[in-house]
Amino acid sequence: MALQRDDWLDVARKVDWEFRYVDEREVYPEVVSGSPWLSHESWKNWEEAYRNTYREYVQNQLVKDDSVFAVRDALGKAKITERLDPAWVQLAKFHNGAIALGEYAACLGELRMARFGRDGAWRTMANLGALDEIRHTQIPLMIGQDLLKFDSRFDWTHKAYHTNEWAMIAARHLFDDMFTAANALDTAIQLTFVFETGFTNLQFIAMAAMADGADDHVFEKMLASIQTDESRHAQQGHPVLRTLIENGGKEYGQYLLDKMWWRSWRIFLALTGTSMDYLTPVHARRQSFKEFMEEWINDQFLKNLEEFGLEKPWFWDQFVEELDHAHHSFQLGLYTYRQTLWFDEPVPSPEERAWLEEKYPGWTETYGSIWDNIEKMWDERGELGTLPYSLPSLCNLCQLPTAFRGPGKNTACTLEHNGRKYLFCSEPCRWIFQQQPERFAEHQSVIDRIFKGDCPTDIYAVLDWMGVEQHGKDLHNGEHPWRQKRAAVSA
Amino acid sequence: MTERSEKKLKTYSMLQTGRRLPSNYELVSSRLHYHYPHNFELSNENPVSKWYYQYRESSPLQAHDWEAFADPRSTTYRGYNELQNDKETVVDGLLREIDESNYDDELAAEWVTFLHRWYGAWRFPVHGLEMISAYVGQMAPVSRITNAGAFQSADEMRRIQRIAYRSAQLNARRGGCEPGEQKAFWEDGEPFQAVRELIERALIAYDWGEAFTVLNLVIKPHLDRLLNEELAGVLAATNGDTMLREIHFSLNEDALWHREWSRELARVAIADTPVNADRFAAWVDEWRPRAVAAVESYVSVFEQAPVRVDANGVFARITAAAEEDVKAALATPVG
Ligand SMILES: [Fe+2]
Ligand SMILES: [Fe+2]
Repeated sequence: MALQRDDWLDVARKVDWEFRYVDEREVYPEVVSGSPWLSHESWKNWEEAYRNTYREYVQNQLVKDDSVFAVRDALGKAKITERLDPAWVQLAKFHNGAIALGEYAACLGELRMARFGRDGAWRTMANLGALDEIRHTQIPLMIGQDLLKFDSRFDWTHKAYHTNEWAMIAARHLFDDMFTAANALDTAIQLTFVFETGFTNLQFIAMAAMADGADDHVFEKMLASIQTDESRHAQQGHPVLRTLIENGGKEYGQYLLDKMWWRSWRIFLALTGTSMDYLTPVHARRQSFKEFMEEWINDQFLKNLEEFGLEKPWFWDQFVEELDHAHHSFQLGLYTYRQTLWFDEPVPSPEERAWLEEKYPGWTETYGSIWDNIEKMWDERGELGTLPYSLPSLCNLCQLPTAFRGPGKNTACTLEHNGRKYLFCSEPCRWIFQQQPERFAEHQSVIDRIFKGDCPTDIYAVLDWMGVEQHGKDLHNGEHPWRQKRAAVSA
Repeated sequence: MTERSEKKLKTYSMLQTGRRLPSNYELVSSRLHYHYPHNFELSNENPVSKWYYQYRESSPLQAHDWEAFADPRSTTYRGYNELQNDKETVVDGLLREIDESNYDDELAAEWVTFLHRWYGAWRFPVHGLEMISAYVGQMAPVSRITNAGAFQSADEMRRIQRIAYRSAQLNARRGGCEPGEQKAFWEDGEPFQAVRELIERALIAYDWGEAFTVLNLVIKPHLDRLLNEELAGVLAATNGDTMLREIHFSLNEDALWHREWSRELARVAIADTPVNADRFAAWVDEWRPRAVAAVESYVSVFEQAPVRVDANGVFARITAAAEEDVKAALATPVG
């Protein structure tokens, strides 16, 4: 009779022993293992809900890869630029650049937990998580390579993280804080509990549904398959948070949660929010970004918090208010500064505007009027009239432009610290900075670097410094069909 | 505004090397770390950034171009699972054969006791190897080395799980050798103590170059042979346990790859920066006596098996082969 998994797996996961020749604190230094430092006694009941053996892992992952590659082999070589909606192709470039090598950084986070996690079961799980993240890097790199011959800006799938492009600096700053340069305990809570359990469903499952609607089945299959790995290794967060709370670390747990909720919100509105509501073809939009957030993130995640007796983040009201406008404001910023991006940005068509008004009542009054203005500038002055005259201000925490203003309301704020003046897009970003100024204070935003003379000030030289050789532009090159129709009617 | 150039790329611009297109391995494994050297987007005071800048950027082991390293097996994620799934299928077959025959009934009682004492507890030191390998992977300056470290770490997990399974399987049939009790042999058994000391000390060798050297050029060439080839190989077969030898033959294939990529990494490091040979040699000189002591202390158990194998012979074979490995790895490249 073959053994059942539970007959033997525990003795393979619970492999901690008492150190005799070195001290436990040397094997798990607090700076890389995390605070509060607890002896193994406190960690020994670490358990994940769904277990996996190595044997099952290599077999299951092979099957999953086979099904992704079958779709890629069948469809991946087809000419994407003819087959897909042009705005959707921009979304794919945006996603690939922002995600592929970020996944690889997550491999380091997993390896850190595989070494400095405090129980054998945790380390075992993290080891498989590290392999998962290698997968999440390699699949998009292969798919991105297929697309290079149709659009050379898919080069950013590989290149983006190596550049000084401002959005990529923001991504690096976030991920370094979350896991690449974070200790094992912080990584478990920030990456696996908040980011993966809380948010990645949205980028991977909700976006996969939209990819299906947009007929991009390679992308759809890739996203859906990646998320099955995420939900497995995301389990690490729960038992770590539980142990922390049981040992008097509830306040710290709440801090990590609040911090990473806000930071995740910033990156998701910037990437996912704008992608869903502006780059996805209307017919493929399953729900609005706000609806997804409310249904998939808020409701689900709040249940998770109750389980631990944690509170909603203190800025909850501001967060809920931002659901209605932050990504719309940010989209205007992306469009305006499109030359700094590696993909093109559209002006919303009348059909899209109607959809936006339906999903976000009041959108037309607040944002439609600004887009009207942009169209008017195209009519009157052409492209030059639609480009910015000045550099945006960037937040010294999230590194994004301080462009999240609501109707009639600017959320930016400042702080003096050790003689330097810092700018923040919002109170929560300032609050995060203030909790650990030593972690963030030394960092220079792109704008700081420009003023310090570390990078050029001439706009085209700045673009070269950012690595943006083929500048993003208006998706229609300014020839918006609805404007041309209007012109024809009035002529 | 500058006109967009429409040149079509055949591969990612950062991976272009002359006219040759990157292989699939190169395409998915190269230049994936954005933070080396000195490039985390946080204050340098952040403790984990500092950790990296100290143990990675300031390691005595330095090269101009670590990217010159390529895994000789060209392991991709998909390739890894294919390979390991095949190996695991073989081991599944062996374990099933044990279940379906009266194999376990025929093992001598003394051999069952011996395995309980001196075999099952290997999952603890192997877990140490798994941890150090994960460390080498996370500290490596380039992604191709990180990948090798991550896959090696997973291979050690495989070995732990097969040892655990086999121990539980034997206990289910023969009783009296509860795997849960085996930690005591690791923590208190005299022959294990030098192995334990070696692993515990290696866990805190935090310099990246030192960790790699200690793990892959010193410890594993000794302990992998001791476990896979001698204990679960020669000694098991001598005691009629040929199935254990077969299982570890498969596990040892992993160890052979660990040696192979490590040899290649050492070669690249020395070819790039010749003084690296001295750095490797200094670490090897410092750590080899501990590894030798570990083997020497552990091999005494070979004399406790129902059918003994000469401990001195085992010791001599392992240390000579491990020494050959290091010599080959650190040989000055010809030409
Ligand atoms: Fe991932
Ligand atoms: Fe992940």
